[in-house]
Amino acid sequence: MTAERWKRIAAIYDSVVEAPPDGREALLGQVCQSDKDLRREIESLLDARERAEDFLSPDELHAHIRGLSVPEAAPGKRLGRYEILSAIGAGGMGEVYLAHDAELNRRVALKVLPAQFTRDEERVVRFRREARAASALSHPNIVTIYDVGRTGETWFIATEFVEGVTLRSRLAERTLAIPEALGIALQCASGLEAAHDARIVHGDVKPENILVRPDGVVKIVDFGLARSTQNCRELFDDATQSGAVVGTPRYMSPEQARGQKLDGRSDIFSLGAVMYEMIARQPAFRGATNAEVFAALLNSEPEPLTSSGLNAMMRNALAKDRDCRYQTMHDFAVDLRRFGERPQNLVPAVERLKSTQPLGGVVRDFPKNPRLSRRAILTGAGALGAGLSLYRLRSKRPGNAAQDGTPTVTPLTSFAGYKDYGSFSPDGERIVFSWNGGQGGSGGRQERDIYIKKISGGEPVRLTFAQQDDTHAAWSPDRRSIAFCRLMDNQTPYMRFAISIVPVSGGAERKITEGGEGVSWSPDGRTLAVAGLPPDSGGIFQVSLENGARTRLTGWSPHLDELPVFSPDGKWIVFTRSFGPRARELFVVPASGGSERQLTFEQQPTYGAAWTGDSKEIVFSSNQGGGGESLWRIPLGGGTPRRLASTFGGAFYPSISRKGDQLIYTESFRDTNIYLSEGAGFNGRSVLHHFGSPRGLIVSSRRDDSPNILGTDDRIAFVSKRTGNEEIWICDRDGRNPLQMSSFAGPDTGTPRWSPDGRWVAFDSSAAGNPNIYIVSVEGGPPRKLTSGPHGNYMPSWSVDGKRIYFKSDRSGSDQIWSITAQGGGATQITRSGACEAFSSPDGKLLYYTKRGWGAIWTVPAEGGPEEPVPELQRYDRIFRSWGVIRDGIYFMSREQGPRQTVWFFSFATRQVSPLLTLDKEPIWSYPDVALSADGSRLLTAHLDQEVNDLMLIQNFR
Amino acid sequence: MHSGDGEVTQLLKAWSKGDTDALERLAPLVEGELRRLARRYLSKEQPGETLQPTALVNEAYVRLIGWNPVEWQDRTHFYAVAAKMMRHILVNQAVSRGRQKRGGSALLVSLAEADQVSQRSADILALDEALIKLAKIDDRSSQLVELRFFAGLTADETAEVLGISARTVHREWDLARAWLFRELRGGREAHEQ
Repeated sequence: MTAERWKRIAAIYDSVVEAPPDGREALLGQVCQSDKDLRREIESLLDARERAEDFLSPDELHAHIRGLSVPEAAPGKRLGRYEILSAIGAGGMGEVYLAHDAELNRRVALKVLPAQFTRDEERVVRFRREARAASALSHPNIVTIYDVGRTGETWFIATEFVEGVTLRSRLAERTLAIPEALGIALQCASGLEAAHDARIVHGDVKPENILVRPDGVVKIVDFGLARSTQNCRELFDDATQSGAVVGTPRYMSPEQARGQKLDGRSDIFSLGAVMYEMIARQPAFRGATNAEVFAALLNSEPEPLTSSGLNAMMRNALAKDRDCRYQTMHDFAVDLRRFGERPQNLVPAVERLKSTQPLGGVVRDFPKNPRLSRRAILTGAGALGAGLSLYRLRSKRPGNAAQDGTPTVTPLTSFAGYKDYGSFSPDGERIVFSWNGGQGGSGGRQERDIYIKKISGGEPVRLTFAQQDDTHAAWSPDRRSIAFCRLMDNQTPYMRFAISIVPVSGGAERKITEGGEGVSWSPDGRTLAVAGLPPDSGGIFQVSLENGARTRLTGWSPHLDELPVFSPDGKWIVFTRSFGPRARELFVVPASGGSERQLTFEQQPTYGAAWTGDSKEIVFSSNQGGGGESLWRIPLGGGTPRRLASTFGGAFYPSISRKGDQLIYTESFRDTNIYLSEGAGFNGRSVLHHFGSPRGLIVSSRRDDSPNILGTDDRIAFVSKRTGNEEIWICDRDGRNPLQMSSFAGPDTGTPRWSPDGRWVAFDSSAAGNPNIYIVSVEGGPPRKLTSGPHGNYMPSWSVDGKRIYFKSDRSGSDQIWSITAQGGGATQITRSGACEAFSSPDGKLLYYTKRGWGAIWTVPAEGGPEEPVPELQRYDRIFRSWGVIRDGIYFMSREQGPRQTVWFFSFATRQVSPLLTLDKEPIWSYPDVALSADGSRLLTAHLDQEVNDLMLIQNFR
Repeated sequence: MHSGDGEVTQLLKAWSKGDTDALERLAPLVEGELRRLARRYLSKEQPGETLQPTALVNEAYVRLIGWNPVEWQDRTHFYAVAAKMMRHILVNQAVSRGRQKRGGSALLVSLAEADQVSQRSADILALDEALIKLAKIDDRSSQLVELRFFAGLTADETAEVLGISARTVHREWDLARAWLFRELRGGREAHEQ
């Protein structure tokens, strides 16, 4: 059928469907006339329409999706889809087994609940409710519950299998150093904080429920299950009647011992008791019998520890009255983190003094390395306009590495455009890399080709000339050829590459195979390691260059394996396996085949890996621990990764020379800066359009944007990534005295907004998993989270009296403006028909808000009510985040065609819109790009100044 | 490219700017998340409380992109990718079930269940083929079915993604559904004239 025919059929079909049933026959006759085929076609479609009923209904899709869960085949003794491998142990909740999840092909810990438990209906209900809630938790420090189910009468829980020991056995083995103990406590606190945010109380935090992996990662088990499977009554009964111990009351909070209702503060107490025991090497509350322990935890204080900072924390965690404790796990965690970083400075959150942190204190926090201290100087200078050129000062001629053997870092490719995937020639004198030839810029990337360049200098020489994107070049051991990946196919769900070889001297390419991303030469030069393509042929292969034979090295897995790299001794291949967008882990597999072994467990994206010259360690890029993508090294045998001191944020795709003394990586990040334009200000009718040209005000070598100006004295709040993480900062009106207000080291922190009195900054952050509204006092103290629950809460702004905060939330199912008191508590919905971002009118009676992302400005009464467009502003309907309200009017940018954008001002007095300034540079758009001071005389704008992209060379690498 | 500011968001932005490579990188991420979520939902599913495909897609969006206040455009693009991926997942699933059946491996399901499963597998493969055929005649209709059926979008959401009116969505959906039904279940003999 032709498209024309189809259009005609569609038109007739539509008109017939819309016609009244008794008129259809006539209509058909009229429009089809003598075209019998056409008429038959329409009639048969109408007939199908009658019979289709719930064809393609959501229920039908649901049935298909259900099909995904039908278990697959596997032999052996099994519960549901779990094949039991061995017993791990038995606990209060029943037996625990190591099992194989046949469907997901992974190991799980399977807890089988005791029969006496499952006979009690009410308990089962409670247990399932608790387990269901806990299974929604996903946090690196919480053992994930995968599944709760039963076969026949047997109830079971499948959880993540953790290879490690309980903290109880760790404590029995050896003494923990204080930093180690703090680390364990902090990891527990972050896990518990996430749970509390999801309104789940653990209720049984104790060393037996804390697992420590060999790499130091801590996982809390049995979330929320404790309370549904045991209760205090039983413990008491046991303690008082027989003295037999079912569970231990040692870590119970006083309120728990009294049988009162629990909340998160009970976990704070228990964690405090665990931490005390780790450091003091004896329990906080002791007794020969459980009854004596109860008496101790209700009435006596533990013996003091050696450090006053620690004792202050203990007092705050172990207060008998929960109202006198840390009120949130977050506060506890903040103190643990601060203590860990600066023990000498610790003043606990609940009694933190008013003090403005001196700038020196901020700079001292930066890791010690030459490049960073340069950045720190920049930070301190604050008002420096020419930060970029300073950043470039580190350029030093490569090729004459420091004679004293200290490692040096130099950029190798300062020319424009995207450069990536550098790797060395076997003699270490040249590099091969991908480059788009210099057409850089913030638009989409163009196809890249393979280039070769001498390290000591000279121009790059082009090796490939195809229209496709050529990447991951690797030099053959005999120096004569380059293997690389060429992106071939845009039509499959995976990137499909051709793996080809081209002579270094130029010439014809030879395609070896198709496959996934990445290619590596065996040291003997006879085979290539390549990645296959899922779903049918994922995994890692060796391809013989002599006969093209493919040998599969890895077992079947549903995951995407990429970037194989041979070890220099030829014995191993390291590769990445993706468990999700945020979890691309390193694996190794013997080059001769065998079972693969997971090396990293960071649940972070990994970008490339390289072997040290001795084949004993792997260097890789990861954003683990926050701070941006850095290079890390991990032993082949596994262990805790260590950060390479010389890389910090924005480091990707490392490669190491054959001798092992040189390392190359891609450095890539965006640099935005805040500019100031000064004008005459508000003249009684409007803001005058006499702004001087913008000059750099807040400039560092990383992100600085989202400015907000305090109404009283023009101080500035902004977002900066100068520490490697997005954090909230404030500074004076001239850019001096920058002060870091948040230290979440986590993703997506932004939208700082001053309270009218200048004592607080509200902002949004996803530090707790989903975006929440926080406020932080400029006088000190940790940020306070005002919102909770699983929703997205963002873009706070203050009421004029400073008592309430307006923000956008999707908690009602669509994006609306809500309001909450600055103390937190329940939120009130203001808008009903969709909204993006709101600011209070100067008299506090109205909210101005954007109707949606990229929308126009509307109003609604501050308490809710009729929602109405501002008629004069409806033609400016492309406003997104770059706007605000001052006493005399509204300033905004509404995205226009082309790169040049104008900041406009709507005067309340005249109801007229006039231009303030047309910008030379394109705004960033994803963040607030403009801020106008209260008197209209100072306009801050943020621009993208540079996308840094360089190949960086480390010489004297060890 | 990899600035670390949310890989999926960057890819969506790049894709919306015309970078077709971005889709290739995006697809496995979205597919993985959808699979994972489907399993998680199902593992928690209670009688009477069924999985909503829209919720699945929306949650995948949230999990992959986070709660960044991103452009609506990103969300519509995401829906388009998610719909494709859901289709891809179900088709693959159906293909592998067919293969298992031929391989004679012992599925641990009751016979009745197995029958249902293979019926569904056949359906999804037939639907996939029919959609490919439809795309050749009317690409947008095929995309519309993908969005409404595989991503579970409402007519309004579909309209938003395709940049057409909800009325047009209703009209085209009506016809596409009839056409697909006829393709899958066959047409009756022509009416007596």
